Amino acid sequence: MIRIAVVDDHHAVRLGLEAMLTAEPDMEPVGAAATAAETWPLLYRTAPDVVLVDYRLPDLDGLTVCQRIKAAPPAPAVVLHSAFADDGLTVAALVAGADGVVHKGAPGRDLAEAIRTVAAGARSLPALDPELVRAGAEVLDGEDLPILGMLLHGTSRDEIARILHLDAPALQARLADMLGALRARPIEPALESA
Amino acid sequence: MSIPLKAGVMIADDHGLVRDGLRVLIDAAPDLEVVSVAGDGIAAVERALDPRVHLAILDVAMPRRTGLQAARELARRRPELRILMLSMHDVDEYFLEAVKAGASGYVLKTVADRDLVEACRAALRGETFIYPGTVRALLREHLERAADADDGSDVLTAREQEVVKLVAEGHTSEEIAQALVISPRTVERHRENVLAKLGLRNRVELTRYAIRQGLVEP
Repeated sequence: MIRIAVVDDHHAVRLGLEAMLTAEPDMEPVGAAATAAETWPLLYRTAPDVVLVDYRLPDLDGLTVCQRIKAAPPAPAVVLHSAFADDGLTVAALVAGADGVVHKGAPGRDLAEAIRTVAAGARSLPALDPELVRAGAEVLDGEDLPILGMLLHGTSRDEIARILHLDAPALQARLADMLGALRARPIEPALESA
Repeated sequence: MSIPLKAGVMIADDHGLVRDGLRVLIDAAPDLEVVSVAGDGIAAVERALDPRVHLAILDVAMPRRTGLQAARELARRRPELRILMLSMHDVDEYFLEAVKAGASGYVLKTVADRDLVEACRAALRGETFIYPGTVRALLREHLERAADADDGSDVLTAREQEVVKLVAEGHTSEEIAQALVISPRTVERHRENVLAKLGLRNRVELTRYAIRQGLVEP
């Protein structure tokens, strides 16, 4: 049974997700939080395998919540749930440590598959447009590009830390800086030329 | 009992300084709050019967009733209450006695700052809180028994058996992750599944097992 916790500030969405997850034979919704602040008590109480985090929350954004959840091992898998078909989100999600990104408008089947994929330890991210990756690389500090490269390649954080001779908090700080840079200059896909 | 996200805790210890220190640790956690304290075993039972209390932390040595006596009485009168003992000594047998009395485990006073909040959360999830040394001892005991039994009806998967062997040998999660080429999170998941399948998470099953194995008196 895959145990899933939901963090979303819309009551209707929480109810809808609970119903959808209950209907899946291999999934069990174990609780929901409406704010970032409630997320940690929820995680401590339910110890889920997967957490679905809304990208927009009233008190803290979903990327930061994701980053903080992943900073404390053993962390559950995190799937960012976005109402915006925002491809630029994927690079930031990668840096924040998300295991998956699913668009809220996608069919329930997509979300269920993403949950199964991340629960098994793999990633479920939308295909990354090379343009977006290039745009992301442009806003980042040169020293951080190897980290982005390794994240794109699927290298685990432990491996990255080992390769760069960083301890966990140091890598965490670098990732936080990278996230800050990506947020300050959001990536727009390059416009088609006329 | 449906436990709210911020659970109510009662601390019973006859030393005011210990109570105050534990209170600071617990109130600092976003999901816990101290709702009452007690200085002896009889007051401990009274306060822990209050429905605002979801978890009672009981010192082993208290005047008027010991922690174990208070735990037994509370387990009888309010079975849904979660209980944790506070102990000076790390003794495997003590862990089983505490569980038999109705507790989810014990926390060592000497390292309470590191373990207490984790233990509270485990207890509130309905899990037992077991120190690594005791987990190793219980798993080693299981391996010995499984070797003798030879009836081939092991409930563990091959991978889980590998993890059991490595944990019983004293390896850390990181070492096991590297040895088996899996992520530390997967190791944790296997560990949890093993503890659940062997009944070590379930207090009642664990107690029955311990009595059968002669690890505690019935």
